[in-house]
Parts: sequence; structure tokens; C-alpha cells
Amino acid sequence: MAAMTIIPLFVIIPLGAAFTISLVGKFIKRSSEALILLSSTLMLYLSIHARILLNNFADKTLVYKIGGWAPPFGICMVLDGLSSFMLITINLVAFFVTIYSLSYMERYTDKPKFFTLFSLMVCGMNGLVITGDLFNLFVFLEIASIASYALVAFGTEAEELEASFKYAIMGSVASSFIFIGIAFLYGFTSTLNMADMARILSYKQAGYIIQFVGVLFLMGFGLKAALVPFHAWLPDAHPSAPASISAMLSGVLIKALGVYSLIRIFFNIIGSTANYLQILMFLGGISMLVAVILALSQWDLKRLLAYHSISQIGYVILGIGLGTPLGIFGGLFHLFNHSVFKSLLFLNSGAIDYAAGTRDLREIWGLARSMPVTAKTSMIASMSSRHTAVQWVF
Amino acid sequence: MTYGMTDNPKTGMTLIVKTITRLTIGLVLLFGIYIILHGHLSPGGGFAGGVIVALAFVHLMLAFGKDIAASRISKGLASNLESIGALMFLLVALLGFFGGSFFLNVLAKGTAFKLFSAGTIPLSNISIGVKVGVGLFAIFLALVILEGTKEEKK
Amino acid sequence: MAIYFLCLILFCIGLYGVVRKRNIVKIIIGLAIIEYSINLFFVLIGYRYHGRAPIDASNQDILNMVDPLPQALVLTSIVIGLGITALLISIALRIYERYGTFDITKIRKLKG
Repeated sequence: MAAMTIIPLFVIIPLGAAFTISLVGKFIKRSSEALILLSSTLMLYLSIHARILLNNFADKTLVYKIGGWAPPFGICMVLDGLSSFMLITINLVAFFVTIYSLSYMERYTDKPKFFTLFSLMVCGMNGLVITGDLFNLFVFLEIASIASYALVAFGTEAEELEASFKYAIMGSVASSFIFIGIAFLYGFTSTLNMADMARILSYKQAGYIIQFVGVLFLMGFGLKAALVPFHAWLPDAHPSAPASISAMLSGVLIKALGVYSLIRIFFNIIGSTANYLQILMFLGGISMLVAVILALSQWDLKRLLAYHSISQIGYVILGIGLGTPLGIFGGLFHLFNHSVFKSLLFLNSGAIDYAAGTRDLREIWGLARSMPVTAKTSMIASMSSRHTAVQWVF
Repeated sequence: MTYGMTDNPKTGMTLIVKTITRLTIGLVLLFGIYIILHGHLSPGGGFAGGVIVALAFVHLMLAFGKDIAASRISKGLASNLESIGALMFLLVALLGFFGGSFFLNVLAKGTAFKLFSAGTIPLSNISIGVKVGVGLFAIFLALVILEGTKEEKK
Repeated sequence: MAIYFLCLILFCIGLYGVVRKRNIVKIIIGLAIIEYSINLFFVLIGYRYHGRAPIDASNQDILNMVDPLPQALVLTSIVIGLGITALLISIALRIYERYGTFDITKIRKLKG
């Protein structure tokens, strides 16, 4: 019983840290950095501890009932294999981005507000992968999304504001599609608990409504995951953000909000039939091709990395759409790998931008001599991207 | 009952609006607090009551100009109060830990339909009411001060 | 059934506003109309025949109420919509400071 109380801590600690930083960050010098570093370290330790803890249980699932209310009436938090894997990814990348942004954010004016929004975004993502209730997933999705809209616009330059506006409008329309899908599912099954919904959907005659709901969720979460018909916000939003936020957005946000939610909806709630998996494979394949071709003509470093992100997410969705255990394993392995190396590349691009003053690839020549650490880490990151693509195909 | 609000004819609205505002603003605030406190008995609760409390301060700003309203609740105070409201909510939720589960209703639940019943729900309502009320007024204040600095720069 | 079609029409009006209008403020208003329509749709799903408002008082019994769960969820959704609208309006004000116009065809620094 005491083991289970670790689960709500994933939501409580970033939330408490966010509002405490907002309160005391102005009064006590350096307190905001200390608090955010403490909370990131604690979250990383807790997520690794949760993964090790999960091995002790028989069916490898921990369920925590909030408020003691029994499941069809109350909200549950569920920790199973996929959730603990995503938690480790999110908190690992958040920890490294926190260390990076301790000194990178000196250029921007308002550090306590940045760390408040950052901590709220981490809280939203953690809550999303842990929850077992469909509307709770929507609420955490909105928390993480709104925090990321504000973070993309953080420097208030002209480009950042335009990119953030585009991203916010498209993200809000996608969230409304998701909400309509949840409304239809609630009207059809009269419950919001994910496990209960899966049970009811398995014996109730579905008909057209489940296909309609599937399409709605594909549109909504597909935009959050930047699949190709819905990718148009990403090449504007990721370059314009501060480098640490680009790393968080491209590294974990599109995966936790988009890919994880698609896996939950299409494999656990709505039964995965061959039609949906074919559509996922198709969209993944198109994403791979179109995004890479568009990336070839880019001269801005971060825009190039942003288009590359879209194509790597296409790889992941293709692997997941295969439906076989090896395919899903390959997809998730590439997801973890891409989080790590893409956030590394974005942080390096932030360092290059800071040192050279520009991001245009035509003007950055011969930096390897003056910035050897950045050059070595970029080389490792780029080589690891090719290594994984070859490795999981075989 | 003037609350230190003078009758400067250059800022804000006409004299009629200012007089009526002085009379009704306390009633609006009281109504908002009533809706917050009776959230577990009748429709309303934290968010709706918080919006009405924010409207009281916004009414003050509209009628008298932004300097008077900013002197009542400054931007720094609004930001701090908002964080305190959120932390109070988190604290109420953490109280459930002592009862055994997160967010459990630990205080005494009295007889139904009385004011002091239903455990921790009125406390959650009050903290949400504080946060929403002050937060909405802070949004308004930030937008208005943005307009003000833009006009000074021109 | 007709009520759900009217919600759909409201959603399409909002979507037209987001997609086709050129002024930033009109796009924000279109998004607000979209949010109104989805909240309305979710509340209407909870309707039961001859139901009454789901308020529990000491002199009334619990029978014959409409579904109270969508009403609680829509309250959350209205707050989310409020947050998004406030954020978008402040971004729009700052865009006006930097670009000098509200016209989205002239706000095009990011290309490719």
C-alpha cells in the first residue's frame, strides 16, 4: 500500500514546485534555480524507482484510486509498462534541459516565470501518461499544451509571437476535436474510465460511431504528434522557441501528447482493427518521406532539425502501426532514442546560436575548431540517429 | 463610503457611474463570496464565484481609471495571491494523504445541506475562488498596463 | 436530434471564422465560438427525458435528474477555454506592437 503512494507524487511535485517558484522566486535570489533543480532530480529518481518497483508486482500494473473512490466513479492513476517507460523519458529529458537552461536563460528577462511554466508543462506531461481516466487525460493535455504555447512565445520577439499564435490556434482546434471525440465516447458508453470503456466497447455493437470517433482522435492527436497532414505548426514553432524549449517540445511533448495518446486510444480503448493500423502506417510512411524531402532545402539549423523531427515521428508511428510486438518494440525504442538525441541536437544548436549569433547554415563554417565539445556531441547525436534507423529495420 | 476614491473628472467615467459604483461594488463582492461559500449546496462553487469577485475589481477599474484599481491591488500582490491560492488548493489535496488516499475527504462531514458540511469541499472552493478571482483581475491589469505603456511610448 | 445538428452548425460557423478570416481578433472569436459549441454539445449529451436540474436539496428526491457528470466536466472545459482566450489575446496585442497590423497576410516573417 505504501508503494502505491508514489504515483500521485509525479503530479504533486512539479505542481507544487511551479507555484512555489512563482511565489518566492522574486524575493529570494537564486531560489527559483534551486527549486527547479531539486524537483527535476527528485522526479528523475522517482521515475527510475517506479520502474524498478513495477517488477515486484505480478501483473506489472499499479492502480491508485484518487480519494479512495472506487473505479467506475472515481479517477484512477495507472502505472503500467508503457507509462513507466514514458515517465523515464520525460523526466530524463526534463532533467537535462533544466541543467542546460540554468545558464541559457540568462539572456531572457524573467527566470521565475520561465521555470513556473516549465514545471507546469512537466506536470501536465507526467499526469497525462499516468492517468487512467479519459477526461483527466484531456485536462492534463490542455495544461501541458497551454504551458507550451506560453513558452514558445517567451522571448516576445516578432517571430516567436507569430509562431506561438499559429501553434496555439491549431492546437486549440485539435483539442476541440479531441473533446468532441470524448463527448461521443461518453455518450455511447456512459463511463469515462479507460478500462471500463474498453470492457463495454468489447461487447457493445459499435457501428459507425466508433469509426467516427477514431477519425476524430486521429485528427486531434495527430496534430499534437505532428503527423503529415497536420504538421504545419511544427516548422514554425520549434525554431522560434528558446533552445531549451525546442528541446523539450521536440523531444518529449510531441511524443507524450501525440504518440502515447494514440497508442492508448487505439490499442487499449478502441480495439485495434486492421483499418486503423493501416491508416497509421500510411500516415507514418508519408510523414517519413515528405518531411525529409522538405528538410533538404532548409538553411536554418533549427528548422532543419524540426523537419527531421517530423520524419522521425513518422518512423515511430510506422513501427507502432505494424501491430506486431517486434514492431511496437522497435517504435518505442526509436521514440526513446529520438528524444535523447534530438534534444541533444537542439541544445547544441542553442549553444551555436549563442556563440555565433546566427542560425543560418551558410554562415556557420568551421566552428568545430572553436567549439570542440559541441562538435563532438553533435557528431555522436547525428551518428546515433542513423544507427537506430538501420538497427531496428533489421 | 468613498474608500478613498476621489472624484477626479479626468480619469474614468462620469459622475453618475462613479456614484453607483461606490454603492454597488461591496454588494457584488459579497454576492461573489456567497456563491463561493455555498458551492456545495447550490450551483456555483469556486470558479463561478471567483469570476464574480474578479468582476467587482474590474468594475472598479472601469469606473475610476486604472490607477485607483492598481493602488487597491497592485500587480505584485495579485501575482502573489494567485500563487498562494494554488498552493492552498494543493495543501487541501495533500491533507487527504493523512486520511490514507490523495484528495480524500478528511474533515468531519456534518449533516447534509448545512453550511459546514461536506468535508474539504468548501476549503477547495475557497482556494479556487481566491485563485480565479485574483488571476482574472491580474490578466485584466496586465493587458491594461500594456496599453498604458504603449501610449506613453508614442 | 435536431439539437445536435444545430451544435454542428455552430461549430462550422466557428471553423469558418478560424480558417477564412484575415483579422487576428476575428480568428480568436471564431475559436471562442468553436469552444462554445463543443461545451454545449457535451452538456446536451447528458439530457434525460423529463429530467430536472441536478441539484440535491433536502425537500426533493433524487429521481428524474439529468446527468450531472457532463455539467461538471463542461465547467472544467469552460475554464480551459478562458485560459486559452486570455493567452491568445495577449499574444495578439504583442503582435500588434511588433508588426503594426492585425492582418495575417502581412505577418509572414517565417517562411519555408
